[in-house]
Amino acid sequence: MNDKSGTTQIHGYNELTQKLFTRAEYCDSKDYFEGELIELKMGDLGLGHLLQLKCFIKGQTISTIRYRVFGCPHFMALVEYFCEEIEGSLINDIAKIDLHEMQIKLAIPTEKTALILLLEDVIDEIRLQCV
Amino acid sequence: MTTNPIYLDAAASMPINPQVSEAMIECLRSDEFIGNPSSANILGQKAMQAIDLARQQLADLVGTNASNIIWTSGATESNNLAIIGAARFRSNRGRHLITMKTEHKAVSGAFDYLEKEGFEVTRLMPDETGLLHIDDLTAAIKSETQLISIMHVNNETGVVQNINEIGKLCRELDVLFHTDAAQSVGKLPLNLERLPVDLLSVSAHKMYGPQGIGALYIRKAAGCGVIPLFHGGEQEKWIRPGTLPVHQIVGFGLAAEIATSSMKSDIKLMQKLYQRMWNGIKNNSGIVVNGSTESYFPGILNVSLPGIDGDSLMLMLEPICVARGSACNSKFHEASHVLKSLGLSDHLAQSAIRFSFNRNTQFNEIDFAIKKYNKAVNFLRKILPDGL
Repeated sequence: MNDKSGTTQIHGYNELTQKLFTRAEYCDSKDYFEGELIELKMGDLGLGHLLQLKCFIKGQTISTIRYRVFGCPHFMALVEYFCEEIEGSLINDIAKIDLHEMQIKLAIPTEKTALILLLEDVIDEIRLQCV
Repeated sequence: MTTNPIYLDAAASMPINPQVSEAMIECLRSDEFIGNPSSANILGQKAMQAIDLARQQLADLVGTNASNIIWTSGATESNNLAIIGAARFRSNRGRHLITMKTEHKAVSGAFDYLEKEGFEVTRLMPDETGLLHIDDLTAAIKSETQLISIMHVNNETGVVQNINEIGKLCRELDVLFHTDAAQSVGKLPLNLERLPVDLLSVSAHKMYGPQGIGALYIRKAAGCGVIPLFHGGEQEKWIRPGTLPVHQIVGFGLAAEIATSSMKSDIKLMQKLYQRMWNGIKNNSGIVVNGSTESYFPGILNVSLPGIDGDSLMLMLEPICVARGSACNSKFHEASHVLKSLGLSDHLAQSAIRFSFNRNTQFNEIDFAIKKYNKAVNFLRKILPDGL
């Protein structure tokens, strides 16, 4: 089945989601990274998504970000995409990340907007902890 | 992702038997079957002869007289006709009906509809293996109870209910007994001469026949009958009016005949496929078989794993075509009503995957599915947050 952009969908997931959800490039490998560590655990298992994040901060930059995740392919792909965008960013810039654009690119349906809201909370929490 | 699918979703729909599709094509191409089977002319009667043969083939499969078989568009229609039709037929005697929480939506939806018409419906819970306890059924029956509908083989778990025991109880108490046998006819032996069943729903595409055709068995007995849902023709003794689709019925009949002769070997094959699949995945920590491991149809294996999201698992299993034990409601991750009735948590029910096999399933396909499943589970568990 094709979505509006003409890409092939499987089980309602577009090609970008299919590509990102198992890529796991930013998945926590338990390696040691330098910098000040911020750890977050957000989401709700009962609602079907749980996220654990480790951000390593050097100066004003998120030098490394790693995640562990439980959830649907949309959530897994979104977290992978989010980490790709956020790693190397200045803390002051992370609020500029366009989560709505990610939602469109991953074709995340509106009924799953809670996933986007969760990442908004993640951004707020990182900024709060870096103050 | 590869484009060569491996089909392990036979409980949803079986691949049509090549002999069956050939017979259907022949029927469509032949000038002999262009007539309307309701017509009295020679071509109409030719078409009716083909339908009569198919009716006999299906009757032979389930051990009954051909005159007890009514053609429908599929099991959903058969279930609706049986349940709504029989409830209305007996409504002057009483308006209490009994079914189970683990029924297919084609059954539960019909009961929902009857509730709106003022019928009282009791929906019984199974035990944790999916089986109905006869004591629970006995306790639920009232003097007003007129119809009990309990499915034979559950479409999600493969659990086989004891329809002989249930039917006997119904006969003793003069209550009509309907069973949705969409998942069992052609796969498990059934003899309606001996089984105390009054109404039985069948689907062709669950037994290597075509989609869009089914049947309803109605026992000839005093007090057993249905009020038609459709009106406007004398076909199927006025019970199910509408021009009969000759090619589909011919295909259904042949599928029934093939099932009669191949059932024993099919069951043996299903047992081997089930065991091979289960042996290959059973070492995943925490894995559970959903449903009875004592009374089950081996063509269906439904498993759950803690810490696994069913949607992610299913996408990782591509190109293996399997089914979720649950229909994921993306907003709430709503779990299967069947699995929840067995007492599974939302989380465990949400991780369920149903593998279902058919006589074309190859052992190397099972081996491939095992590898994919184990690899996917390892990956999804490796990336879980701490504490899960």
